[in-house]
Amino acid sequence: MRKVLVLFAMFALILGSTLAFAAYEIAFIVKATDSDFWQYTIVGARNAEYDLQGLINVTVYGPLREADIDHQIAILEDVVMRRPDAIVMSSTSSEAPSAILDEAYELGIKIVLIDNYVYDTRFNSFLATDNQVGGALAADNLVAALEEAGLPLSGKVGLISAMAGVQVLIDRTDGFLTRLAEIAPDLEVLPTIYTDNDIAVSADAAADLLIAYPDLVAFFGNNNHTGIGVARTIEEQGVANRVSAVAYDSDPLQIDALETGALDALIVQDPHGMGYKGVMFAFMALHDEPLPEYYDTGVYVVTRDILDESMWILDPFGRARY
Amino acid sequence: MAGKRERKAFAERNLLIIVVVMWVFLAVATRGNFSSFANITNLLRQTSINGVVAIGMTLIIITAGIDLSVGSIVGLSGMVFALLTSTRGAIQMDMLPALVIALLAAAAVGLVSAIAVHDGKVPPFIATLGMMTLVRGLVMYVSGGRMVTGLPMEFRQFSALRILGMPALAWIWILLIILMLFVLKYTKFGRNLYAIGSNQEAARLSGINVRINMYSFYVVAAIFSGIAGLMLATRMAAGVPTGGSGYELDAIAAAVIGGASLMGGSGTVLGTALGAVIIQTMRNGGNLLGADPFIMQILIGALIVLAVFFDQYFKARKRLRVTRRASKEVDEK
Amino acid sequence: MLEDRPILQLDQISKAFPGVKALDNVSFSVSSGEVRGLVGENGAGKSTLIKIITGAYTRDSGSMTFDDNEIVKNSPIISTAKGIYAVYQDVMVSPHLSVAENFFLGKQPKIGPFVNWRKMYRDARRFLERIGLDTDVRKTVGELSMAESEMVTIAKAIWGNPKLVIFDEPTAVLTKSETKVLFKIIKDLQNEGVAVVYISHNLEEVFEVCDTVTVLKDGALVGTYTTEELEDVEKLIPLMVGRTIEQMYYKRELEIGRELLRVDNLSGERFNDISFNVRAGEIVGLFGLIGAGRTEIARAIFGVDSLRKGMITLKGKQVKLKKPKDSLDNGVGYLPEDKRSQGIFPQQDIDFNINIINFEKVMKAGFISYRKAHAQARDYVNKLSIKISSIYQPLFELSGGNQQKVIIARWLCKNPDVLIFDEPTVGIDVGTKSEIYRLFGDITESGKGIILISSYLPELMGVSDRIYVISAGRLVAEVQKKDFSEERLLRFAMKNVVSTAKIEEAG
Repeated sequence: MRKVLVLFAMFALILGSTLAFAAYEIAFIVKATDSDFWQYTIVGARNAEYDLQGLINVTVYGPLREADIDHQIAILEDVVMRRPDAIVMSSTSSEAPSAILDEAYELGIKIVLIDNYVYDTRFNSFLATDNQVGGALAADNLVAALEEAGLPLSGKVGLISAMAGVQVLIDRTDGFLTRLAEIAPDLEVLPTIYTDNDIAVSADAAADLLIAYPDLVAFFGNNNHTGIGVARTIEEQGVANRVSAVAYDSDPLQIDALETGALDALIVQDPHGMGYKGVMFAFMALHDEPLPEYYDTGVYVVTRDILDESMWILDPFGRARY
Repeated sequence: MAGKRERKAFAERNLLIIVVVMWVFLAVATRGNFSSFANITNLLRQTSINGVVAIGMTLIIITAGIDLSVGSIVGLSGMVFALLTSTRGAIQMDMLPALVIALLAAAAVGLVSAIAVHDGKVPPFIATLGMMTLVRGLVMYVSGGRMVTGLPMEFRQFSALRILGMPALAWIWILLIILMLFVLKYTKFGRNLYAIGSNQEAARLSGINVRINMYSFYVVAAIFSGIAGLMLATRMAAGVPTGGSGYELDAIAAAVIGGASLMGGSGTVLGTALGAVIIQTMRNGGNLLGADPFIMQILIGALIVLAVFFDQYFKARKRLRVTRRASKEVDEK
Repeated sequence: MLEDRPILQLDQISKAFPGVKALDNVSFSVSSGEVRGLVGENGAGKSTLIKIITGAYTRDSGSMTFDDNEIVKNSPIISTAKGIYAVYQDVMVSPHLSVAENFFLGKQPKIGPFVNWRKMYRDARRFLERIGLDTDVRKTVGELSMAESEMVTIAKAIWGNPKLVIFDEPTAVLTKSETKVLFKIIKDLQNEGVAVVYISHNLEEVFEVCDTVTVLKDGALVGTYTTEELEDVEKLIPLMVGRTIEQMYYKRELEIGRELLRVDNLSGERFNDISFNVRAGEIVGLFGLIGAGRTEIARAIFGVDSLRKGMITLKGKQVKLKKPKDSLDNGVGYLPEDKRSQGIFPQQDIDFNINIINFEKVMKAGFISYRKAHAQARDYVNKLSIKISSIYQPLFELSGGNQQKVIIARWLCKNPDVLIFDEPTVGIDVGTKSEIYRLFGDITESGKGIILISSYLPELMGVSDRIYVISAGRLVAEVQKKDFSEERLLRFAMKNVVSTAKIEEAG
């Protein structure tokens, strides 16, 4: 009798562990590990893993820097070799990973793209912020900030971009330029300055523009590092009262700058939602649930006045459940 | 005879002329914007971080070496300081001991490179390439790849501080230049540097302890990168894991434009400082003029090659003259 | 055979280097099927002559005819294409390639676009067998011993179907059996009508393989003789060395003082059991052929290289000199043989080059006082009458002689008790040489001692009080001034080099 019991226990153990191992493997590939934005998407992905209680297993991958496009491709190739059940990926390049992703799709791996679209590949769903809309919101808020500060809607506007040739940044810039031309045609946007996503270089560029154009009234930094750079220069030169600035994203330093008044508004995506929903969509795809081809994760505007109630979107680390 | 002393300052004088020409051109082209006090001090602050890294790089280039690890050391010292002092972190150490520890961490990296180069006979390019990757990995590991914020308020405000109208960061750079000009000329450390750099074997036979000296060159160079790392941390008000990446290239460019030869034995702190100013002037001037940033990059690249080309060209012509004169002397005999 | 029309004809060749005339109107010719020996002391101009034949150096004047064509423009590539091969060690073969690949370099046999390795190995092996070598043709040259790779180098020269082959000290690294093979190769070449030029310090070897011998001295031609008319080696030596000792070599007569340096039973990397001493006011010569170990002994005393055993005593006190700094502190100085790579700091100025070991004298509170340093440098520049435009001139701009004087100035300023000069006058013009000898007099007069290493016998005999002769790492004789003679010293120096047994076996 005891033998039977032991046998039964062992059987249960084996069955149990098989069940545990049968959890879906989901690979979560981010653009870069060095920025808080991508860390926030990871929090979202991990929360999804937690909420699904052992049904899925999320593994996070990513190169150090966004500039490492080829490194990200190499990571993707390695991940495909390991045959996960699904890949949730924010690709730095819109074209480079096409062939590999398509091959993975062919192999039956579910593909969910987040943040950046990839051409010429099949996929299950694409979740992103409409960056044109975000750029337009930046223009709206910049004009609002200028009005509030009693500054004229004429003069120069400095546009600092992290990198040339990146689609999301191009969309933000386009959305910003189009809307600004509509609502404040007297503001002249200066030629874009590219700063290799380097904070110090962004700060230098902002300082140079302030000197070159005494009638400069506003800045737009189209991501976190350019935003921090702009804010640092405004703080260093003490020009917060005569220069308005809006930036994309929400690093802690940008939040500090919002508090000090160096930045007037942040256009914030929902990185947590992107990660969370991306993983959830992958899970749904594995169960053949119908998915929208494109899902807008939305943007939020955060200003100093609503800072406290916006913390959930600004600092998703506080929301980590795991 | 005393008039001939200028010969030594030949390269510096040419660089100074280039700087003056560039500045005058920019002052006119920007209708005085460039030459405003605000912009010149701004330019010096922008140059200061690369300028400090480049002083250390110059030491290593004089030894006929090269140091690719400086950018990673910049990242390391800033990150160490941020982790130790962050008000959001676990340690919350006072600033002064944290500064010392950050610089010691930088010095340790230099010592490892020096041991690999001198005792391990690993070529400096390879040794420091290894250290560059290793140290960057270390920075990523200790920071988890995340920016560390919440630095002490006094430290964050330091980058905006001005003394006599000049940004404090620029003062640090200028004081370090003056210090090193003095050290390289008036101490045995400096003389040994040039001796070892121009002929290591002859230096050994002159009773110079090559090992200890090589260690100290690399350690001092690393400390300069460490100082630059702290300067960058105050500018960014944070410890940034990727901070300083790519700085090695700007530093090498500054030293090379400043007349340092990768063959060793030549190079001056003043030349390097001017080289750093030239590079930053092109960036700053480009922004002021609203010039196409990609064109500016092309121009800076061309400048590096041209600077070295002309240096070599004039040296070669001079050498030719010397040999001609020597063979004429023989014939006369 | 001398009646044949020469294949190589050099007329009135001259070549000067900054500060020295290396060849002065030398004419030289070799015929097909002739084996010509080329002998002379170190620095007689043998290497320069060879390098002009191969095109490594351009001649200043004179003409060259090879195989009935006048060669106006020459380079190693041109001369090789015309059939002139020179065997220098390790120069013609790539250490990373296999023996066979080295033979076929640039013209590998192919099947379609692919290298036919089988044919390459087979042909190379057959060739080596024919000339009497059994080296594995698949091994890379780097894997071979020194002697084997020397033989491969020689074989490669022959592989190219040469019309003239030049051997420069080929037996230095060869063993007896390989020397035997080499001599057989030379005989074969001669029978095939190839002209051979054979350079060696080993005169007995020269007699063994050569029909005729050309003697060079001080860059000038002494003459060409058949081995028959010379009869034996003994008659060759006076031709190489015989010259009137010029006025400029002089040694002041000084009272010899107490013993400054004494070394007992020194043994090191390339020398064994060396004992000698130097006294105040004395110049002690160290003589030996190149590679005899003289420089190694000097470097060991100065603490650059380590000693296996032995004792060094300075002014009666036993000392350990483990690094150059110790020697400097104990009053020993060393001027290295190869000043370009070991003595000068070429990019730095004269001031720096003189003061580098003397900054201690002009330091104030730990910092250099340049007022004093410059005065110190100018003082020695004047003392040694160094011709410069200013002390801020970088050293590479100076002539070889003035560079040497700057290094001497450096050490005179340091003022050690014993100074070791290693070939101080190589590549220096006559005027500067005599000034350097005058400085030797000044140094010894102030109660210091000098060890002079020189391969140039007239100089050594002219200035030394005593000469120690080193042969193959061993001290073979101490010769007093009254017994100085070039023949005698040269014979001592060759004592351990000529192994008669080796030649007998080879014959």
